[in-house]
Formats: sequence, C-alpha cells, structure tokens
Amino acid sequence: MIRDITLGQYYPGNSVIHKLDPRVKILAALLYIVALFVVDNFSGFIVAIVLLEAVIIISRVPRKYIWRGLKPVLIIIAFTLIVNIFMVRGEVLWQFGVLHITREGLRTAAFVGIRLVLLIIGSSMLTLTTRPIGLTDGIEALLSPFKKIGLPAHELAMMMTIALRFIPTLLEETDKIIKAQQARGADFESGNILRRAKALIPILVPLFISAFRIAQDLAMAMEARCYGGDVKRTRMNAMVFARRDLIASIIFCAFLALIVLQRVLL
Amino acid sequence: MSFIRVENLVYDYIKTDEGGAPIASRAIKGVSFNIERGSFTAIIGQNGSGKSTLAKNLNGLLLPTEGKVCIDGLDTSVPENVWNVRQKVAMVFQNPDNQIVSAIVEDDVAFGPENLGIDPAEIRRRVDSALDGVEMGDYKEKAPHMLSGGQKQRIAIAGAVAMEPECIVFDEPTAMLDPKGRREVLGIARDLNSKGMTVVFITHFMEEAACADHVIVMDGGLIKMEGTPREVFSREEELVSLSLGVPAAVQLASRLRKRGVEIPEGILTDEELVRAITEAKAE
Amino acid sequence: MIEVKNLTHVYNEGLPHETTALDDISFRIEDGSFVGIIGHTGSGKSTLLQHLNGLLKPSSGTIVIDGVDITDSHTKMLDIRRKVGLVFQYPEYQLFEETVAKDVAFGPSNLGLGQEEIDERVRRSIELVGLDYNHVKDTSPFELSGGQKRRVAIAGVLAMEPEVLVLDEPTAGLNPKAHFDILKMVQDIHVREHNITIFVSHNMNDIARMSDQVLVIHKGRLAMNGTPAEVFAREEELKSMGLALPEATEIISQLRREGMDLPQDCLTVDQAAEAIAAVFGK
Repeated sequence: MIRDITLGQYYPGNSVIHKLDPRVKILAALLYIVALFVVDNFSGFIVAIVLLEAVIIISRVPRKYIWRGLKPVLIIIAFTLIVNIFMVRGEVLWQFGVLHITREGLRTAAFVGIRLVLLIIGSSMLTLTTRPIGLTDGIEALLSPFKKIGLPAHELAMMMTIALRFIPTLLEETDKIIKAQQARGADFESGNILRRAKALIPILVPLFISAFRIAQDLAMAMEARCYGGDVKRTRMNAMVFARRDLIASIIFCAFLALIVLQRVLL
Repeated sequence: MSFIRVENLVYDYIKTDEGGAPIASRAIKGVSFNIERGSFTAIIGQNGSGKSTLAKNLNGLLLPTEGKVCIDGLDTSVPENVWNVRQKVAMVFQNPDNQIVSAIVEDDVAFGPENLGIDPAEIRRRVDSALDGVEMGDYKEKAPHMLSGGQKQRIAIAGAVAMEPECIVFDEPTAMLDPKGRREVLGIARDLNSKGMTVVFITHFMEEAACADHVIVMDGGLIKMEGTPREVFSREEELVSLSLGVPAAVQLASRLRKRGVEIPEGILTDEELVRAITEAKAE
Repeated sequence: MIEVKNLTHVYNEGLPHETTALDDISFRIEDGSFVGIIGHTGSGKSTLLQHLNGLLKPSSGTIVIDGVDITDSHTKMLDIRRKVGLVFQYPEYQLFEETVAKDVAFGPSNLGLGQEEIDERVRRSIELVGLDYNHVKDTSPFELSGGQKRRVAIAGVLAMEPEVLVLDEPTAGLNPKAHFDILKMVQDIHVREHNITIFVSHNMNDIARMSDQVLVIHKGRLAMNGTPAEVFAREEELKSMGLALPEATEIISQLRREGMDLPQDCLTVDQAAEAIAAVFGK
C-alpha cells in the first residue's frame, strides 16, 4: 500500500538523537555523506558502520522502520551491484560466455553496495529522528545567511513543510483516481509507450486539479491563521544549540577527520 | 455593542470574460445583522446562497464591496485591523485535509500562535490545552493523514482555539464527515460555546442548526429568515420553498396537527415531540 | 441476480500488519432490487463495493453475477466493468476531459465500441442523469455546478450500460436540494432501466425510504440482511454498532418506550404520522 512508504517519515521519540538541534543533525548527515564518498577501503567502512550503528541504537528507532525505508530502493541497489560485478574489467575469477566476474568487479560492487545502503540509512536516520518542522526550520536557519543575496530561505522552507505534509494526501488521491478510471474501463498496463503515456492523462488531469484545489484552500486557511510570511513568526520548538549538540558536532568532525586521515595514510 | 456588526454588506466576485474584461457576479446583495458575544448562530442555505462568502467576510479573508463589517468595533476593511480581526475571529473550513499545514499534529496546532509571534513556552501551553480540549491529546505526534475526517477536523478546531480567538466561524465543517464525525464536531462547537466562545456555524444539516440559539437563513445572496430555531423552523412551508426542509420532529408535529391531533406549536426536538404526544394522549 | 458466497478479503496477507477487511460475507440480490448498504467508516463497505466490479480480488469466496463468476481469473476485466458500474465517492474529482461529451465517452470508448454507438450512449446517459444534452455536451465539465458535475460523472459510468449500478455515498457533501435531486435521479434511473442498484449511505432516512433490501456491514462481517422494516426493528443491535435509526422510526421507538401502542415498522414521517393519528382515533 502507498501508505507504507516511509521515505521522509518521522518516528516520534525522546532520545538524545531526537533532541539534537536540527541544524547539527542536517550538517552531521551531510558530513557523513561526504565521508562515505571519501572512504576507499574496508576499514573506513567499518568506522562508518560503527558510527551509524551507534546512532541507530541511541535513537531507539525500531530496525523494521529503517528496513522499510530501504525496501523501495533495493531494486536499484541490486541493479548497481549486478552492473558492477559484470562490467568492471580486471583479473577474471569466473567466466561463462560473455559474462565474467573479476576481482576488481566484486570489490567495486561491494563498495558501491555498502556506500548506497549507508547513504540511505544515514539520511533516513535524519528524517526518522527529526520532525518535519524541525527539518525545515533547520534548513531555513542554515540557508538564512544567503538571504542577503536574495535567497528566499523562509519561503523555501515553508514549501518543504507543505510538500512533506501533502505528499501522502496526494498519493492517496492518486490511488483513488486510478481506481475510479479503472472502473470506467481504463487500462494502464498494455500497449506501447505512447499508448501508456496517453493513458496517464485521465490520472494526471484530475490530480493537477486536486493539487490546485488543495493549494487554494490551504492558502485561504493559512491566511485565516494570520500567516504573513516570516515577519514576526516565533517557533514552539525554538532551536537551541546545547552541550549535546557540541558533543555531536565534535564526534562527527572527528569522524570525518579520521576517514580523511585514513585515506591519506593507508 | 454587538461583537459582530454587518451593515448593508454587498460582495462581488470579479471574473474575467473571454476578452479579459472584468465581470462582477454578486454573491451577497445587501445583508445586515448582528452577532452577540457568547451566542451560537447557525447560518443555513443552499450552495450559491452566499453563506460561505458571508463567512469569509467575517474575518477579513474577503473585504466588502459595499457596506461594512465590524468585529468588536474594528472595521475589517481598514488594513491595519486585519491581524487583529483574524486573531479575534478564527475559522474552521469544510475540507478537513486542506487546512492542515504541518505533517505532525501538534506542529500544526502551533502554526497560528507562531504566526502571532507568541512566546514559545506560551505556545506550548496553548497547544497542549487546545489538543486536550478536543480530546486529541493522545495524537500529538501523529501524522494528520493517518487520522479520520472527524479527527482531522478536531485538529483544525484546536488550531483555531490555540489562537485564543473570541469567536470561531465554522464554514460547513461537517459537510464531508460521517455521522460520528459530525456529532463530534458539533459537540465540540457547543462545548466551546458553553465556555463563552462566540460561535458562527454554517451548515446545511437542519438538526445542527436546531442546536443554535439564533438562525439566519440565506438564499440568493439575501437573508430570507432570521430568529430562534423555534421561530424559523415553525415556518415549514417557507423553508420547503427554499428547498431546505425541517427536522423530522418539526415535520411530524405539523402533520399531526393537520390531522387534528393537539400538538402545541414550537416543537423542535424529538424529546419535545415525544413529551407533547404522551401528554396529549394522557388527556 | 448477484450471489456473493463466503467473500473474505485480507489486506497485507502474511505480513505482520495483516487485517481482515471482509470476513466470510454471503448474500443474494434479486434482479430489479434497490439495495442499501450501511455501516460506519472503516466497516468494510468500500472494500465490498470494490470487489463487486473486480477492482479488488477476494482472498477467498466467489461473486457470481448472472451466472458469470467475476472472481474467476479467466473472466475478462472489461466484461466485469460492462456488468457492474461503480460510482465512487465524490466522483466529480475524476472528470478530466475538455467537454462533458468527451468525458462521458471515456468509458464506452474503453469498451472498444464503434463511434456511432458511443455517441448514442453519451447522449442517452447525459439525458438519463437529467441534463440537457445539447446544452451541456460542449461545455467544460469544470464550469458546471457541484451537483451537475456529479451528474456528469455518474453519466460517465452509466454510458458503459452496466446491469448493476453501484454508488458509494452518492450524496456526500451535497446541499439538501442537490442531495434530494440526485437521489430522485438514481431512483428514476432504477425504474427506467430496471437493473440492480446498490448504494451506500449514512443517511438512514434515505436508506429506509428507498431500499428493498438493506445490508449492514460491521467490522468486516455482514451483521444484518433484510427489508428496511426488518433491519430497523433491531434497534439495540444497530445502536451498539454506532448506527442510528431513521428519524421517524426513532420517534416512534421513543413513544413505544413511553407505553404507546404503535407498530414498530414506521420508516417515514408519513407512516409515523398515520400510525400516531390512528392511536388518537384521527
């Protein structure tokens, strides 16, 4: 079911990870992703895995949630693995006709696989432990230095808030429209690409109309609740940089330093 | 002085024709009425009767084309008054989905107070008490799309309450709900009213209008009837001519009277009718 | 005739969060019947409707319509859609074409009919829903009023000429007048076409007034199946499921509790007035 998609979903909790300043978490996630691309040996990955594992344990987010977030991208990961295993040239270990597996292929495949999995779990730990508002407030705060050069940081953050709120609603709407058109005999599964693309019109038009209706209603509702941009807004959960944030920052900086050093030295 | 004063209100929607020239279509054709502090007013009417347009004129979402709307003495058409007016008169809309801004329940309830620039600790207090008030305290951290229509509507009410308004305008809040959701929303509106909140409740369900202490009937952009539910619903034929109908108890009472059973005038609810019939039988 | 036998539907079968949406449901609907379905939100009503035209396949059980088993995997989807037309809640949200006529034609053209036949059906079904064909055929469906949009959407299903018409809360969100008009239209179509009509509603007055047969769904099971009089006589059970009586029946029931000798099967205000007046000898 569409409802099961956990991408960008929040898992309510009270752990230290949940309580961290969203700004720190966003930067930490970025650092982590950068580090994953710096790593070029297995011991580096072990450090990255240990750190992520520690975050998962401290956050107390059930593993089945993390697993569910990974499921939709498994096919992509599998595809990348296969491409790498068979395409990379080098010392041949096994051959069957045109197919061959090389030592380098296996190594690259393993690297890419681990990197992708860590990347996805790492970024979903950010969204699982940070409420959507925290996420957008954090991004807004991090972008605010660029307001001077005309970047609409608040508006971008508000757009993200609304997008996160309405993606599930629009997915449900899509589900309903598809069923309603199927009941009128629509067929989305057969025919060539052109036919199939044409078959999407009866879904897309009602969906766009729905989205516009939502936008109109929502704008009215926001205005009624005194929304007037960023003029005098306060926040219920003001972002505070506490001691735990300092510690987390140090840990993640140390992690990146370790990974860089390791790459240079080994 | 009345809390809300509407004087000769006219409202035109401006559309453009194919050539791009503006055409005005008149949704409200001159209405005047007052709403007293602490009252419960129901506005009923068909689609296109102007009732929704009227609602949006009560908190400055729409501004009068002609005439005047004053909230607690503040003229809505004066630009400096707009934030004050919207803080005093909050609104709950028809579609439960399309008025919730945040992906977490309590963050949504905080949206209004945040816009008003209120201190974080005070926002926290208001959000908690507003959610408890609509019995949604256990759903604080839930995602709105996982809730039922009635529950979403309760969140929207909490969002309005958290702004600590003096009046809430409900614009057909029950039209898209099932009977359970409708009972919940009406129950909360009555509860808020009993605690002193001024309530304006727009609906097309007659049994909901029967709960009000003042009923306004709109048709074709004009007020056709006004009074207590008893007064309004006793004019059954007029209501039927506006295709509005009356609650079953009122309908049954008038059928019985026509057949010569002695039922007193002014029956509104099932309980009143049952009492009247049993008393008539006892005689 | 529709015959549903031991229909069961389990969502997410085999997964930890599996839920039984329909649990061993069996019933029969005779030709020409007007059937009302009641049950509160989440009772499984919508799941049941989606089985009736093959949008969902049962976990077990069968649905036989006029001798054709629509749950059989060999039955062609289009044949099922031709037999059973399903009008969803708020069907106006599925309109997408530039003109009313084109939108109504969507269903019949999916059936692969000839242009002449399609045009004929479009005209017929637009008239069937009470709209003026020449007046609306070239207008955009989005320029119509809410009630008219809903009529166009229903016409889009009628144009497939189904033998069974299923409507999920056809009056949801409508004003009193539009509500009344749509129901009148549904009744007229039923009389004219003499097919089977099945509708879901939360409004017990409508259910009592219009149906020959009422199905009550509760927690995925068929809790009751009978005439409106039979079903609404079981007041206690209905109320324990959170369902109400028709308003007139409710008043009569309260009077009976006060000791008045009244028949239990009054479903409408007229019937109630008649019965009460009789007690007074008027």
